[in-house]
Amino acid sequence: MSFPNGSQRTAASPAEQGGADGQHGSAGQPAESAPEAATSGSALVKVYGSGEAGVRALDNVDIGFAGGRFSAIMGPSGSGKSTLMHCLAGLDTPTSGRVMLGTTDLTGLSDKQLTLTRRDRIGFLFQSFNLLPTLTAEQNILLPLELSGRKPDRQWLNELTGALGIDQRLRHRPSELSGGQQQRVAVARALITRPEVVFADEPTGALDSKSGANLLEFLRGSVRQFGQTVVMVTHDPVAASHADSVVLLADGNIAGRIDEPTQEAVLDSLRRLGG
Amino acid sequence: MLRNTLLQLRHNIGRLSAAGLAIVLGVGFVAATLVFTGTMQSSIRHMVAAPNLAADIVVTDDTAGIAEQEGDDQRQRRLRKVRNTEGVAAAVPRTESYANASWAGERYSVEVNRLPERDSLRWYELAEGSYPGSADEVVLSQRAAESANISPGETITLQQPQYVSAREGESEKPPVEREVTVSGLVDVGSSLLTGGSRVTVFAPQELLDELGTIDYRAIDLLLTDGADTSAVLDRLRDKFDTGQYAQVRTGQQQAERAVEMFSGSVAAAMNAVLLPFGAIALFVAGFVIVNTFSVLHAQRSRQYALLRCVGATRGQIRRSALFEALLVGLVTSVIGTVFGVLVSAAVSWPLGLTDSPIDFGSLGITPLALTAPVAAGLLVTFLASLAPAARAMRVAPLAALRPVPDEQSSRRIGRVRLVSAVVLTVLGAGLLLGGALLGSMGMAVPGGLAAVLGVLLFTPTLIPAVARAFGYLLRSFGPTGTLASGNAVRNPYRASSTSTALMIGVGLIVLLLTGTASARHSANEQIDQRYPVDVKVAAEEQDQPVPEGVRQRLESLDGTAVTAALSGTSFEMTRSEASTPEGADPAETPTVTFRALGIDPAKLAEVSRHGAEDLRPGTVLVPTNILDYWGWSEGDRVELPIGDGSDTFRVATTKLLRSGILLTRSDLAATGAETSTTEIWARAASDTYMPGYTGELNSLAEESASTPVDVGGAVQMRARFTQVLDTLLLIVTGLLAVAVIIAVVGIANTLGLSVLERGRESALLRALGLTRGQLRGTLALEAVLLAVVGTVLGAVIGVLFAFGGVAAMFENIGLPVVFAVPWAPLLLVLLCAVPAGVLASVLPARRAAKAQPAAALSEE
Ligand SMILES: Nc1ncnc2c1ncn2[C@@H]1O[C@H](COP(=O)(O)OP(=O)(O)OP(=O)(O)O)[C@@H](O)[C@H]1O
Ligand SMILES: [Mg+2]
Repeated sequence: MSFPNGSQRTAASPAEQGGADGQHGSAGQPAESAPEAATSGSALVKVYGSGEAGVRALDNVDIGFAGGRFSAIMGPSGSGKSTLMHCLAGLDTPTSGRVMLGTTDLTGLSDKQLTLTRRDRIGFLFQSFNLLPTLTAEQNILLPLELSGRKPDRQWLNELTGALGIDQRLRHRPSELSGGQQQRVAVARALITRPEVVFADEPTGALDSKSGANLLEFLRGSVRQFGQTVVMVTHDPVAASHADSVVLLADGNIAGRIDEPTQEAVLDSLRRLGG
Repeated sequence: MLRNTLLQLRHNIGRLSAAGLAIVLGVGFVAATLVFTGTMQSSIRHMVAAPNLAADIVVTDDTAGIAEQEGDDQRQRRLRKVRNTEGVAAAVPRTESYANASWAGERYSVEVNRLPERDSLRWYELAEGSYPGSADEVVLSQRAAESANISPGETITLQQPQYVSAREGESEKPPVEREVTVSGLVDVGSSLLTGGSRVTVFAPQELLDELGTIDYRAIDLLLTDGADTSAVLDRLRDKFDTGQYAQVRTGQQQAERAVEMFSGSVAAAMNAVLLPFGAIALFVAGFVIVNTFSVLHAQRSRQYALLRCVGATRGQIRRSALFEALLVGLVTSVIGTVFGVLVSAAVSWPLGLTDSPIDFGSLGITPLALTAPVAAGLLVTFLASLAPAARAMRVAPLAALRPVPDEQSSRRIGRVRLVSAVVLTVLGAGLLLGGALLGSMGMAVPGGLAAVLGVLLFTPTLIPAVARAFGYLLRSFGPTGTLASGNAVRNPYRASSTSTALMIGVGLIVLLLTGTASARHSANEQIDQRYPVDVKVAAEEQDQPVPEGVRQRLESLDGTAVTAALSGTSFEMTRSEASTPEGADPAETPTVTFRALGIDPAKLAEVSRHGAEDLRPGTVLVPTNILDYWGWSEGDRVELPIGDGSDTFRVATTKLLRSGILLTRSDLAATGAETSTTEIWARAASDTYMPGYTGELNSLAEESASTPVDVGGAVQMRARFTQVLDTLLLIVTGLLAVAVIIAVVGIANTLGLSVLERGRESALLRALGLTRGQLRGTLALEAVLLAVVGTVLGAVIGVLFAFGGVAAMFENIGLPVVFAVPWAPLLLVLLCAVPAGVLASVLPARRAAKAQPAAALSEE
């Protein structure tokens, strides 16, 4: 499977598409990350619990991910990868610091505005439990559009499901699909809204290496073919080597960055971090 | 293993709260019933015993009715005998009678008792004012007097009841009337049956003599100081040589005997009425418990599998599950019993059975009232947990190693169950139908029960199917609707037992509504035929015209559809020899005065509900009693001496009037008799609420003070009937409401448990952009769906069974079968399902919406 070639983006650019809600300008704000960053965080702190018992999962992290690129976040277990991703994706709110999605400051948004932002401008891929058991594959894919009351773009749906090889399984429920198929349905759902950023937390963690590689190829294809932004958390150096760049985390801090990573370079850096 | 069970229980305490609430409500109902009836019983006992305990010795007639036959002389002789006995200081006959009392324009029938002169025989306590100082003063029972709004110092009129004056052969004389002053109030204690509504008057003997009330069934004796009670008893027994009419006992013995005679009957009757509702409530609670344990065990199946892996046997897991259920049942049943006691205390106080809401000492808390509800609660919990425990036991050790299934495996309905469901339903429905057609309750009742059982077995297929059908309607609510309808039926067993609980409660209420609606309809038809005219207004004085103003007022009432004026006159008729019944003395039945009424046949057709077509020119309509009196029969031609001379009419029977005869207006005019408008008839509009209309008619009668008028007709009977039926319906619906409330708690329970189970799903939805409001909406829709399905099925089944039952019953007692669907209340019940569902979803939805999407996703 590979990303559909001749696909034309018919919809408006992502920035115009989403964000019906307060785009609290941050234009004058000096951002540490590159100005063209699709998603970025500055001075991010996330503390779980409180007082002495509190865990500092993110310790003053400044980070930005460029648009149209495939980025990976790596690090030892417990280093704060998932926490960082959740904060950037508006799934969780940081204890302090600022999160930007394009030009929108997510930290200032109410729960409802944040929800609508996720719905319209962000795509998600989780390691497992991506699909609702009561809905068919197709209903699962179209769910974000349904929730926002938008009309599904049938052609885009056909292209995605065709390319992912699940067009014959659309009427099935998740329990009737294999793990790999379920994950591909989740990819289709993440891309159906043409989100500004797709966040993926160990999307291949529960797959065998072949289906995992296929999935990564597809994601990479979406970045190459039309400049989709993908941010992926992974443990797997092989998976990371599909990305354009890798950010390394250790103990809630940025511990390094590798552009055009190879498996060996990634493994090396991880070994140095003691992962 | 035991420790593990307890730990698990503690961990899941929140999940058990709804099931616990269901048991508490059901057990509480049973306990409240038992304690309440016990309280009533003990207060009645107290009331019955107290008068006897005041006396040293009581001489009674045990055989009712003897006293009257004995006559005054004998009674006086006996009293003298008693008084002359050595050791007797005083003998006071316990005179009791009834009188008509009136104050503030109202008339009451009151009990009049003799107020003993001796203070020690007054078994009540003076609560207010003072005891009577003269024969025209009385004291009243406090509670009833207060609720009837009389206070000390006020004047009331006591009138000898008709039967007393009649017995004294003074029927021509007007009954004796006395104006008396209320000097004080006494506290006689209270029970629903005795002290509640009826006012008791305690009057000096002189007043009773004047009123001619001298009946008594007992003589209270006080002994002289130092007299030996048993010696006096022996002496008295000697005097009344046999125990035939008179019994001599000590006050204590007499009190025990009186209590014994009352004992059991009241409480048993009330328990028989109330406890079935408790059983229904517990039955419904059983469904909630089944659901809770099923879900709980399903959620723990991996834990159980792990336990099996490390060597726990099936029996151990099963025992652990049952032990858990028993523990939950015990704790909640005890709480429920305490709750029931509190409820009965709260109910008993306003009824005057206890002195305060926390007067637990006066409550009838018997050992049975405490143990029976706990036992019932335990039993229900235990039975309800059997199947879920058996299922928990079946888990294979390997299940622990499998990944968490994405979807709860929804078990299919078993073939045996399906077949027996079909057989029972078809057979039961057939029997019910047969019973309905043949009028056999012996067929209809078991048929109905079998069909109910069949339907209950069916519910796991029936309810999800209906829910799916309704679910299509929910799709119009957008994605929330789609999600809700999918969630509602993803576990058919869970959905069905949730809705079934509601179905039972609603079904019973609808059964009742439909049954009473049909009974009401049928009764109204019967009243139509037997009493065809709703309202009849006539002057109190014979042959006086009804004032024109009264007619106008009557016509202006909203409840009045149409009125008609009747012209009337009187005529006298002498019984001829020929028509005198055999054996009767013609001299004894001389001349009789009759009323003749005339009405325009067209008007009669408008104003009467039945039988108007019988009135034709040349015909006289006669009620059957007059027909019998004259020895006429239908179709006879008779001569009636109305006006000048006699005219001949054809006789027909009628139910339009009870006294007098009815002619067409022109026939009456043709007789040449002098007539005036002596009666106004009216028909009530079809949608008139009869009790309200009756009130308006009464005030109309009061307004016409210058010419007093009587208001009669069927409307009063209809009003009374409507009120009795409405009250009954209200009480029974109230009792069934407990079951419905438990069922709604059951919906909240199912939803709450599902929300916990679907924690990750909710998180995923929130991550994908479902707002909190939408999530709450999804759960509300799911609950409404379950509620509506249960209610609709309950309503359908209730109506069908009611029809079967009504048909069988009416056919059985030989009444024409009438069906009436109570649309308005039915619609109300259906509409209530929506807010009930929304209400049930509030707590689970709050819980679901609280979760952060990220936090829930990382949960294992
Ligand atoms: N909800 C929470 N409450 C308390 N501490 C938490 C919570 N979630 C994460 N943590 C802690 O925060 C730190 C970072 O966790 P995070 O899940 O981000 O790590 P990770 O890099 O994703 O690890 P892994 O590779 O194992 O998924 C860890 O020390 C973890 O224990
Ligand atoms: Mg992680």
